[in-house]
Amino acid sequence: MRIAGADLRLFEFDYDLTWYCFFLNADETVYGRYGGRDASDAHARISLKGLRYAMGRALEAHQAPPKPEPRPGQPVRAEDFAAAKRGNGCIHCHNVNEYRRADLKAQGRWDRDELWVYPLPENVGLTLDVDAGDRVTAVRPGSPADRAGLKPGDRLTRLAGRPVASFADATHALHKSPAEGSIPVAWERAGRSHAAALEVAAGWRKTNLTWRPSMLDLLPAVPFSGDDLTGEEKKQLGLAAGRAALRQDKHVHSTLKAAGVRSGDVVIGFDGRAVDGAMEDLLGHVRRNYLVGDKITVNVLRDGKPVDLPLVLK
Amino acid sequence: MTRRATTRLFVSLAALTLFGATAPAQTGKLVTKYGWHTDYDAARAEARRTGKPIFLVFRCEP
Repeated sequence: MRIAGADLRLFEFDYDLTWYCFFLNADETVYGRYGGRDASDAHARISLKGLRYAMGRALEAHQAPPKPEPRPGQPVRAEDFAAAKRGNGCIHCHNVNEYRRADLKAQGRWDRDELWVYPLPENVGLTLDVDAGDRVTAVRPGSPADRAGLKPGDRLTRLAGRPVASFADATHALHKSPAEGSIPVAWERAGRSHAAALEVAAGWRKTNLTWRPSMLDLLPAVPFSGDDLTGEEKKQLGLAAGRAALRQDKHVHSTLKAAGVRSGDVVIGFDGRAVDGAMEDLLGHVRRNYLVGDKITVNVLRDGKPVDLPLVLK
Repeated sequence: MTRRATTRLFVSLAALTLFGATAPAQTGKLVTKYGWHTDYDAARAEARRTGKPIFLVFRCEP
């Protein structure tokens, strides 16, 4: 059996991943999931200990399995997307996201918010233990999780109404959560049960997409080339020492040339926003926050004077 | 979890591997050698017969 043929209503997961697993019974009750990653590293969110922990929790659930969730209607399969019929018949997991996006765009129903799939627990202020995926190891001050009353050491029991034993369970629950509003959460602390709601504002789902194979065609090229300014150069231009700034060299890409960028221009930000760090942080900011087709303003210093240049990202 | 419980766990799960882009015949030989199913319906049937849960893996080349 391949991803082609799988009922995606049951096997719904982060299709940009190269490895993911389900624990389920013969009646197709899903006990849990395991897998996942973030932009930093393909293995940052998984471990053998964590897999074993999730397996143990699945076996516990198998002792008293809930009824399977009903799946009304017809199976949804990767090969049924209209966009899939234009392919060569070989369907990879990440193609599911691409086909879905292509079909929605063809129907005029695609919204940019569709990009923010499988938000990280950190998006609501939670850091979970890699080796025991329901354990809270940190809560960001002022975050929805903090305001709901969660604390390090708590054990999540349910998130958005779904049981949690792994990072995969948590991100799936967040994936199914609204773009803004309330997300129910339940946890245990010192043998007592607690429940509250994570109050999330619009934009909470936004996550670094740069690792996702299904979205590579959406991420802009940022063809600046040159060197970081030295500390002395920044000082002479009145820039903070920690601010990212690059001097464009003589190889000005045609896209940048058309936007008015010149050799020698010092790029100090985009849309009025400064970035700390080095050149790669400055350019990475564009790839993490903008898409192909977006219109941005390149903030440069030319002969020491600020110049703003409009650029359409490609 | 104890090592003994872990062994029981490993034995107790009917396992299924689903490959996104590998030739099914070659995949089948490799995975069945290690006790995995490659057919979802067959894995469900065994899970129903034995009363054991399924450990189902999607593995897909990018």
